[in-house]
Amino acid sequence: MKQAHTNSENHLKSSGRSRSQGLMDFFIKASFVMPAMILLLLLTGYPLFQVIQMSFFDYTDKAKPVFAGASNYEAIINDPLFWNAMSNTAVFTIASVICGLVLGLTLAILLNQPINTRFRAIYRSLLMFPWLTSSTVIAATWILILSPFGLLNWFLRSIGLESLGQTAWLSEESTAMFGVVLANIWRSFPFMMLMFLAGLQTISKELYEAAEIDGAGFMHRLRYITIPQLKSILLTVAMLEMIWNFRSFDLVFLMTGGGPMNATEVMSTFIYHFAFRKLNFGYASAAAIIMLLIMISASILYLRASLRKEANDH
Amino acid sequence: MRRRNQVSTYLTIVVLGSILMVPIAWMISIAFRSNPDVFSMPLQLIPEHPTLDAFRTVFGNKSLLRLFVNSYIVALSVTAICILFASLAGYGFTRFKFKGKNGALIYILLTQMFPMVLLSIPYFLFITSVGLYNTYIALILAYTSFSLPFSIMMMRDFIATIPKEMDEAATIDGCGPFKTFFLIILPPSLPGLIATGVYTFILAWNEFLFAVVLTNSVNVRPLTIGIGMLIGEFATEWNALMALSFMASVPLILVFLFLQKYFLQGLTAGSVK
Repeated sequence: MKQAHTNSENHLKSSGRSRSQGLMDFFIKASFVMPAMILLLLLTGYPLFQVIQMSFFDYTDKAKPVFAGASNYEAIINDPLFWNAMSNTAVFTIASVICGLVLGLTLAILLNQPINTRFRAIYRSLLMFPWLTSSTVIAATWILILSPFGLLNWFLRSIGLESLGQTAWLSEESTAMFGVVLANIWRSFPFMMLMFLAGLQTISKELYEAAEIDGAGFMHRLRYITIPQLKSILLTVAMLEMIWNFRSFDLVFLMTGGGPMNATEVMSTFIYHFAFRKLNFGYASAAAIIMLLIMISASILYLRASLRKEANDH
Repeated sequence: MRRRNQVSTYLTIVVLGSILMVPIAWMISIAFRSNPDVFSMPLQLIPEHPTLDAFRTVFGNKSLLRLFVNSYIVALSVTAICILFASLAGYGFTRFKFKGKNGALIYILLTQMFPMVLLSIPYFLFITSVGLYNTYIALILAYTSFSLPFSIMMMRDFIATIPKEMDEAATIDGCGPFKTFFLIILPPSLPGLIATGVYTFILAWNEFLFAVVLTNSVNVRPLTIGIGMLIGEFATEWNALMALSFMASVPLILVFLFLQKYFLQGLTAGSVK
């Protein structure tokens, strides 16, 4: 009996020690991650909380915002301009991502052919330049190229397309989106090319050699070797590009300001206009929250895949 | 057959590459001409009277040069902060198991989805209310918000490639986790640190939205805004704008060319397995 008592006492003591040791242990182990996480929470978590709060207030009287329930959200759902921004964002994102993927993959496959290594290195570096250029520089350059007296029209006229060569690309409702997307694809293809090239280099040459012996043509090899082998990196890159394009602001803001007649107004510029031109913070916050929710739900699959990879790796 | 294939590969790369380089060539071509020649008809592909006028305009304008200094101060500070916090976090995430680790990783992934325009609203209100409007600190804080998550992920992926046996050996020799980090992990992480640094620097140097929202004077505003403002001006001096654009792009291109070996290695460490 006495024995048992001391035993359990010992047990208690040791578990107490291990608890405090466990706490100590946690602090040492977490201390490397803690500073970054605290900084990140202060910079993104708290502001997000504020935006959620603001989205339920009416800012008509800026000095004294009043609680307004879900009225901001109701107003947004009934705002045709919001739906216009939404569909423009979808067009902008989908067109940019698809064209960028095709262009990036094409270039990566070309550069992965058995060519002179120096030649490959030079072109790989050159083709990265658009990615290194800031969006303001890209916007300025493309405004110039797409202007009525610009390079694109000069080219169109010189190949005989006289009437098309008179277009003011960025100031006509029907062509403005095309112009912005063109500049955006030019900005984003290098990153995709680089990632795909890195992925292609991990595919074993033997697969291709075997296919060649079997007489598989280029399209066959692309379909049955390259794309399946690149699947995970293709999905990751496509998802990242979706996210980046969906929230993209700079190019649209600088090239067209969302115009003409809201033809290129995307979610980000729509929210910016409400927040900083009309100073309607409540309405802008609600729209931003809706935008975030759409983004998160659209990338649930990506998040799940990343987490699964996480579990496998570490 | 094989030979002809190769020739067509080279040819396609050169043709496609040249088309894609046209905007950069055009920027340079405009930068070296006088303003009336920008839209002269017929269009001059290569300036007929090349001149450095545009560069003189830029160099003669003290406030435009100030923008360069501002961009360097902000981008370098953000880079330093991100490298410090991200390398520590990268080590923590790859080497230790602790409560809340998965939650922390999910949160980092989620922050990569935050639209910047969402954050710009509370930042603007906070920064103005504490009197930090139009300061470097405001920009540095705001830029850290979107650079830090990506930096952490990059550093984590890189440190994961360093064999665990190395720190286990150090532990047996009596090194604590902090000593292990500084003596064992940091030295071989150099390529990863450079890659993360270059990426952060590029992100910070090119940022636009927060700079519009949080600053209003040339004393603090970065280069991107300077170029953005020139676009908006009524009578645009396109040649000066292109000269400035050219000058703004050169630092990044040089950084990239010198460090690209590390950069490619670090950027693709995690995503290609």
